[in-house]
Amino acid sequence: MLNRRSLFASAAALLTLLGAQAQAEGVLRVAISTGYPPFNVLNADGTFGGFDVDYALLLCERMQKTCEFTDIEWDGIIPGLLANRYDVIIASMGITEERKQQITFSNPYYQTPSTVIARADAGLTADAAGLAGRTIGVQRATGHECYIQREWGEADMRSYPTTDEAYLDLLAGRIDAVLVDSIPGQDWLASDPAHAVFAPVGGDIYDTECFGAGTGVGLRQGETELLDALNAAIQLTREDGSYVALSERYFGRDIYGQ
Amino acid sequence: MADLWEYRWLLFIGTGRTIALGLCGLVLALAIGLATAAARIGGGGLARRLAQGYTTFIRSVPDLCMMLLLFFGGQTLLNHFGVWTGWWDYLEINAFVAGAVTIGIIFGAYMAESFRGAHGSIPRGQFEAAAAVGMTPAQTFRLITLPQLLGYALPSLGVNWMVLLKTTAMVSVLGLQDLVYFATSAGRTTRNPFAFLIAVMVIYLLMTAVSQWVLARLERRYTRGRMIRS
Repeated sequence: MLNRRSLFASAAALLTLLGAQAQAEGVLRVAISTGYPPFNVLNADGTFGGFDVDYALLLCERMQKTCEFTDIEWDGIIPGLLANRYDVIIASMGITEERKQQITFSNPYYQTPSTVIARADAGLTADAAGLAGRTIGVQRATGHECYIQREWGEADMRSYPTTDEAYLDLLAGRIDAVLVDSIPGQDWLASDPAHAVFAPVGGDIYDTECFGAGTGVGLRQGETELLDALNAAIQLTREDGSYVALSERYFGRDIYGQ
Repeated sequence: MADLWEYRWLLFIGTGRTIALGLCGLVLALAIGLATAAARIGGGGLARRLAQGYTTFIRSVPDLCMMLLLFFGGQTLLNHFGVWTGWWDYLEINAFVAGAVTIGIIFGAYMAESFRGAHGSIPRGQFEAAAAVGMTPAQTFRLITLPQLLGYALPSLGVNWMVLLKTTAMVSVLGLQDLVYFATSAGRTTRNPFAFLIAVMVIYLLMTAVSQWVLARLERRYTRGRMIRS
């Protein structure tokens, strides 16, 4: 007899046929967002690379799981985690108070200061007086926005979907400076001879309130078992030297921080 | 150019996915649009109000919001339902299916308005004539309305299709990699964004040109019998 329960069950079976699949054991579903070299990179053959991806593979190995990557647009990365489309975000996401209201973070796996980049001959200084009335580009929904609003309220802040659009406007002369993470910033400066007229201004900036306590693995709140496993795996990569080897390969130094 | 050549397969795959997604979304949008227009024109009070609510709601919310709402909200609802009934903890909706359905739901509202407008363009005298010769409403729809509806709706449907095709680029927030996503990601990775953006522009231009050619032919076909009004 076809009662309501079996009707629902067949609807569920139909959904399964539509490409649905249950969560497999021994798989860690990892969200990344490519287009952030050298951390998140899309290779020409469609595979993923970069420090985040390689580090995720290290973590999966330590947790005896297989990494399964989803490449997703930055704007959709937290909603997707909350909707259980993957288990963790390993995409250079800074640990901030704002994000902590929605998700949980592992212990930081790297820490980079921020830096202002501007034309070397512009005579710009990276302080409230030097930036007043100047236009400065940042990636939206990042700690950089928070920092500019708090420290350099007089500056004209322009927010971009990613830092690359900010760089394009910097090259086009439409903005005076950008505030970015220093490692990808150095990478950008070195990537093209045309970028040689630009330079970091005013040195490294550290700020726990805005930039957070470093970069962590993002996961849903309440998943304490996974959180413990991730922190243990991060600890393992520090102890067995695999972290330092990976970091040396990408940056020529250890970026773990304190 | 070397970068473009290196990434040619990804661009090729992305183009295929964009076209497939656009066509699947189009079929759904046409079906939803036709049903909604029918409800608004010939439905009862409740059906009419529901259809009107749907078109108003969808058309007033930005596409990106709608997509995030339908996709992630829908997924979360589905998860809650599974946990509540105990049948599943998590069911993954295939991103392509979800993207096509979301686009279908969004553009169904626009298509409905196109069909409704087209219906209004059919001279009223024809319906009176149909009633006068004793046709039932179903016969009137099949023999009088439908053959002319497409002819009147096509220009507006064509516009919707081109907007729809470009909206497919938003599915990348759902984790589905289309042409635009591959191109921007590759552009950022190689630090050569303009080459990829120009390639995307050329590919979209080609898709649009082909669409226009097909639409022009369809329009000629479906307006063959139209009366020339003096």
